[in-house]
Amino acid sequence: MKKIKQWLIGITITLLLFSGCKSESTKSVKEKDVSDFTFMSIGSFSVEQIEDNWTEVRDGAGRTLVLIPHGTKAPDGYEPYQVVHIPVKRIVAYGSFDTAVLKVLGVIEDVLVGVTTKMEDWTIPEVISGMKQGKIAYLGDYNTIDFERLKAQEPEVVLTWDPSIIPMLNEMGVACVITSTPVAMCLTARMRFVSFLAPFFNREKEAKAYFTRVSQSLEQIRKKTLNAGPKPKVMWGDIYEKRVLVEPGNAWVGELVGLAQSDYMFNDVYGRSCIEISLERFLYSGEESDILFTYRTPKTGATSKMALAKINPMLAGVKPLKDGKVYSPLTNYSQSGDKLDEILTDIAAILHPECYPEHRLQYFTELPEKDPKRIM
Amino acid sequence: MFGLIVMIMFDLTIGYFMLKSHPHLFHPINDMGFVKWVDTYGKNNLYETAWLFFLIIFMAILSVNTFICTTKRVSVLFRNQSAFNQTFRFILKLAPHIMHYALLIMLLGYLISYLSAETYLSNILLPEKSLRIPNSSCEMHLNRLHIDYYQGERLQYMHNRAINVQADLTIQNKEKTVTSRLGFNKPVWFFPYSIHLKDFAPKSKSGMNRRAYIDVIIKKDPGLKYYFSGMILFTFGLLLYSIHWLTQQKKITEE
Repeated sequence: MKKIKQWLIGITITLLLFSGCKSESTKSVKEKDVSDFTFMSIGSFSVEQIEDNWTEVRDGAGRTLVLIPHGTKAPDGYEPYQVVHIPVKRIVAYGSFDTAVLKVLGVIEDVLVGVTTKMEDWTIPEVISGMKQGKIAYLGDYNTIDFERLKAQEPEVVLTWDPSIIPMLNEMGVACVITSTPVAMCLTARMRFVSFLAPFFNREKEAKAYFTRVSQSLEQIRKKTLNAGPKPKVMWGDIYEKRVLVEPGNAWVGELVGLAQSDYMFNDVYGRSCIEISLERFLYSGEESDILFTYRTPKTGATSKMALAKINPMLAGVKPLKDGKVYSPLTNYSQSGDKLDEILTDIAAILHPECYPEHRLQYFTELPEKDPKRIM
Repeated sequence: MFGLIVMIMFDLTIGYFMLKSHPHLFHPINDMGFVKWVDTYGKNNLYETAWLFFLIIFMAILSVNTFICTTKRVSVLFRNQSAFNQTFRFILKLAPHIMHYALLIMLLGYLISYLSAETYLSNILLPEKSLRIPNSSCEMHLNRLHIDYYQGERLQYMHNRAINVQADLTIQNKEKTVTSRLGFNKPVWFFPYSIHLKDFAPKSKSGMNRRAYIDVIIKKDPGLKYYFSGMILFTFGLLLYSIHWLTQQKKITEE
């Protein structure tokens, strides 16, 4: 009896040990076809194929929506505002990443009817031409949305990060999808987010092609930087008037930095993207860091290290500003989610320039010590 | 029994690391129910979730074992009740068994909760606006949203940042109307529903200009009464056990 007990304990412990082991490195390259899944979790999002004509999705806020083809009766148990008829023909997008994903799926020109960014701030050609033609409307800033205009655009779905518009959209009978998450998206979730939006337009093939492309680029980065030189120490964030915001270690940038043989200084910070930390914590990491990625663009004051230090003198004390490197995202960075592979390569080239001798940065710019002198 | 406890400890250690590294796989269990979770996240991520299935098996064995052993001992006690010269002494002897039964009731409560609770996430309420509780005729109205902002001098970075939020709600159906104040650690009860505050805006007087709203979680949890009863019974058992222990200590010192 005692021997049987010992055997049972041994078998269970072995099973438990193996239950936790899975090679992450093979996960990214041996992806199944999106259509192979009946259920897929993408960070906080999920997609479940319940029947042929019945897909259930869970958005970033944990709300359930049901996707059914046009002309089909909605299954029981769902409120009217949870039902989305697919393929969606008219959509409003708040975020630039969501808009870029529509481009990946090849539907941006056909379905996008409203945005919350002015025409002059867009770099996506399809959005600019759509706005010029009057097909895509500027609906106002996120906190002053013109609901009359929104209604006139007759969207079937609104992609947003702002939950406060849900009651108004429910009244208007427009489905709302929250595309932000309470916890920052990891690298896989960022790459796979496209598979969450794909069933809204029956564009699973395009989603798979995008995922494969980004996976291959990630694999390239892994291989190229495997034997790279010393690991640079990296921080991503900024000091504002009363707040210090950084990308946490669980965010895709933190994961990418680690994958590209570098040390991310906020690996111990966990939470949502652009998370607030104490000034002391930021300055502590700043003493050792080699590279700083700031949130500020040249348009918002990041023109040189000196300009950054002038905006916030506390920042002047961090090592990247004194004798390291500071990179600022260019305007096209936040609107180029469809070129995530190129963005990832840009970051890898910044971390290990020795591995990418011919590379020219497309989404970031290295800040000079001082602003060039203006000729009066 | 010792082997089982060792296995539970080992399983929980793995669970700790799995929960830490894959929290997004386990969060939905709280709102979608266990059966649906097993069918989706559970079976599609077996490497990460297997420890939970093992834990349920172990807990089931532990519960059956505890029930059989406790019942066996309680029946022996009842058979020999006449041996106790005082009824109170007999009741004191029951203390550990009461705690065991209480634990089983609590576990039963959690089981009912995970199997049949209904949870509705992301219910957004704007001031002076109403919301219908899903799948019911209950209406919830946000009468007033009161947010306290820090105005002190000591913590500069907290200046004009929210430090407390209270929402005055009126919930009604055909039979009754309840007006109550909702806070972060103060849910509102409207049988069989409980309303919990999850989020709110604006969190700061300066910075991003956000529209005022509260985000509430609505729960209908039939397991609640079981684990609350279990907790009360456990406290009662613990009280009896403490009295028993104190009287024993007193006896020892007297001797």
